[in-house]
Amino acid sequence: VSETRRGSFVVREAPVVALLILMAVCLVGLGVVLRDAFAVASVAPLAAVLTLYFRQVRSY
Amino acid sequence: VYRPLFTYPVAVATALLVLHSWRYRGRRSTVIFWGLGYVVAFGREVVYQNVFPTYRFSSSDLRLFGVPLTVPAGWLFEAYTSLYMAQFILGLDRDTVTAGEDRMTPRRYGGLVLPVLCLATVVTSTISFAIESVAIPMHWWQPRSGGEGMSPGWIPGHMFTAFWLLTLLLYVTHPPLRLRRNLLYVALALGFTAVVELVDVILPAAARSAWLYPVAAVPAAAYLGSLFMWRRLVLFFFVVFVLGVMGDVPAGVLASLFGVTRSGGVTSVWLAWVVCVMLAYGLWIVRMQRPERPARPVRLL
Repeated sequence: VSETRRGSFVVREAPVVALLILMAVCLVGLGVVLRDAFAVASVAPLAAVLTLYFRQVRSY
Repeated sequence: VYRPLFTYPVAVATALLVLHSWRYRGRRSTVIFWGLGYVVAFGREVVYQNVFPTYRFSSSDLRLFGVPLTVPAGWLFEAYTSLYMAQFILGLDRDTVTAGEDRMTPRRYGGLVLPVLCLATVVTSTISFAIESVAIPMHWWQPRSGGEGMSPGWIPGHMFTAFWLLTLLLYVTHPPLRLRRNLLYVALALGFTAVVELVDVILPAAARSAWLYPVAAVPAAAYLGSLFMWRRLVLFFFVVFVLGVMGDVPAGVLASLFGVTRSGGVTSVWLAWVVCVMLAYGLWIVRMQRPERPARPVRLL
């Protein structure tokens, strides 16, 4: 088991990378395929959580 | 429609999560979380597809007992990323919640582990909102009652599932976190879910066969009683069930205050209500439960 500071960024921050991939997929689905500008806002709460996460991690 | 757009990138992301789990949580934890977790999530979906009248899958993915094999992995995607985010936002890890003790006490569990789980479900709510907003219009799964829109009640539904799933997986994975009452909680939560999902079937049937009333009432009452093991559990239930699942009542009042009368508009108000309530709950947890000097998690839950 590795310490959480070690490892390449993609593996070390895999949960964040996974959520960013998910956000990108949802944005493409809602914005490009469905062309539903209003529904694009459904990604905003997840973006807010990620922002809080990055703010917190910077303080460690 | 456009299913591969979602499936392939998310499959790569899930593979990354398993790799992350293997490296930072160890082989045993990874096998339990992803192996046992898959089996449990698959069992949940089998019941939902074959017993509960809530939703059905309409994609053409490979299925077993009516369940696309990718769906249980989706539950674990939500649960794993949510648990990780909650630990880092609160600055709590395995060492801080166990305080170096081999045995967990109910007091410490309520004060340190439950906030992580509750915040994890708030993260789950944001993930599920994004996914459901794409999945329903693209017809990957649909409400059995018909309709093209997502029910806002599904968001707290995701939170409820993530909560008992994570409670169970943490119990099995980490012996120092074990409290037998958590297994009881999971069993009662499943019984409560069955009663809630089947209420439209149970009530007409009970009108003909009165013995069904106590059969349905006992698991529901036992679950509600089990919440009083911890005050935080009562609050979690109040936020998720009363304000979330039953949030159509306050949202209906709000909608009428703003003169919104058409059905789609009222649903949008309910959706906005649910999102605001869950985010406010998450911020409250961070404000009240974050230690004074949070440390970067080292050994992950």
